[in-house]
Amino acid sequence: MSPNVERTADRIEQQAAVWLVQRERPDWTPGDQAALEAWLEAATAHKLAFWRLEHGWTKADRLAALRGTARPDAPAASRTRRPRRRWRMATAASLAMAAVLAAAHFGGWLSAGHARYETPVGGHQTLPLADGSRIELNTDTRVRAAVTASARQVWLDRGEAYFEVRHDARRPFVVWAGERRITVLGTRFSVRRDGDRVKVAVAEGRVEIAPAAAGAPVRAEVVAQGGIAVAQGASTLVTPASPERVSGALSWRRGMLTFDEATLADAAAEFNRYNTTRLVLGDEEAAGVRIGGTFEAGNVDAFARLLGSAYGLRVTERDGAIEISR
Amino acid sequence: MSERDALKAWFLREVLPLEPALTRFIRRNWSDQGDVADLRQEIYVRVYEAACRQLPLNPKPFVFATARHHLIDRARRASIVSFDLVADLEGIGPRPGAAFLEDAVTPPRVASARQELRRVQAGLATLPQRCRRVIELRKIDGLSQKETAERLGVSVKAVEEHTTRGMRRLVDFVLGGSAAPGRRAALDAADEEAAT
Repeated sequence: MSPNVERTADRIEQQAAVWLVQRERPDWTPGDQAALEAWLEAATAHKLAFWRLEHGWTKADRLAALRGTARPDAPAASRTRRPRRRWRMATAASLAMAAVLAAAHFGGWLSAGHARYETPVGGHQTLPLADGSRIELNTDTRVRAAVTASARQVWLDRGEAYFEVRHDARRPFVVWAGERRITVLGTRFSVRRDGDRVKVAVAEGRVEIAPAAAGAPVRAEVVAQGGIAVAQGASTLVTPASPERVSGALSWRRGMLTFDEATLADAAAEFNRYNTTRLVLGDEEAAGVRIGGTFEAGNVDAFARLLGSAYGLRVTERDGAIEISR
Repeated sequence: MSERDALKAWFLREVLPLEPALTRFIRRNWSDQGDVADLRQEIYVRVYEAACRQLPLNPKPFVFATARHHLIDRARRASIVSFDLVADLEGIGPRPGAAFLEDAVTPPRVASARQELRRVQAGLATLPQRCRRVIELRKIDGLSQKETAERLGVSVKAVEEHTTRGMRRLVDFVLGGSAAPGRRAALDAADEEAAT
């Protein structure tokens, strides 16, 4: 080592990398953020090492463009390459396991010609697309996506998703939901599908809602920013713009449910989308109670307790269900 | 934008793209190759702290002039120093735009998305298998650390360690300034250990 050159770069870069990885943890708190800020402020070398890694690591997000494509050297293919010494010692069983993993991973994608993503009940996942757009999947949702050089298409098979679409005039972004086709160039909106009922809430920009089948006797409707459209059968109802209602319709992105004068029956149906513990209404009277407010989607117990204490309803728990009655 | 954010943006936009040329410059003008990463860090710090006082109008010559001064300072302060080294560096010329700048020719600053993807892919291919698999699941499939751990049947901690290691290697490759040729072999050995 040369005198006077302190060997600190390696250590600082390692610390910066650890911070970056920890920041991606789901339980990253404001306290953690404050600790990171303090570390960054402690030395210029800290800041620069962190920014450098952060910058390069963001470039690695380009890899999302490869989603759904077969990878030349995914684990299953590695058997044809010369294995490293340690791997050569791996048992045949674990290689077979890797092959099964890869098969499960690609199964359904290649046959369908596009990537498929699913969330379980209570799930919530964000997917970056190859073109820089993002899809956020709500609970119990399945989508398939195909992004090619000429088209960007997503099929909402069930559930609800929020789309942030990167503007690209040459490649319209099309969401297929049941009997509806929703087309945009660049905007932010959500689509929810309950069977053949399709609800579109537009946070920014404009979207067009048209029948999925060419020549169907249904008029195309344009929904502007702040608007919500509900389409079912031949009808499409577009409500006047209301940013508050759109924001309420998108509160699931924060893990919350917002109700405004909703019946308890509707609220229970909403909660049941997110939880395996069912909310059941014991009688018509309870079902008709109107409620408002914002609640944690995953905390059905707290909601039930509130109904008991604030609304004086009877709350009974049995067999994985919570019954609410007068 | 706060002042720090502005300086950060300036550093990422103007200085970081010079990393391959800067790394070559240090490597060529310094005998102990093990010092390269540390010298580069010190030069970055000097450049940034000077920019905090006043943004240089012409960043590229400024970065290389700073690098040259820094290497001379270091060489002078070293108790064992080759006079040749100092003389060589001084001979490089005091003016920006002098001979050493030929080394500062950088690739076009704005790489297309496709070029960037290719570069990241090439970097990915240099990673040890387990490390690469973790990064593929994180960056290509968009899995969380926890999901990646479940998919590979390893602990979240192991995923974090592979991510940390892979991130550093990948960023070195993508920015084109891998500082220590010897480091790769050492890391490979560490990876092989971790993979068992």
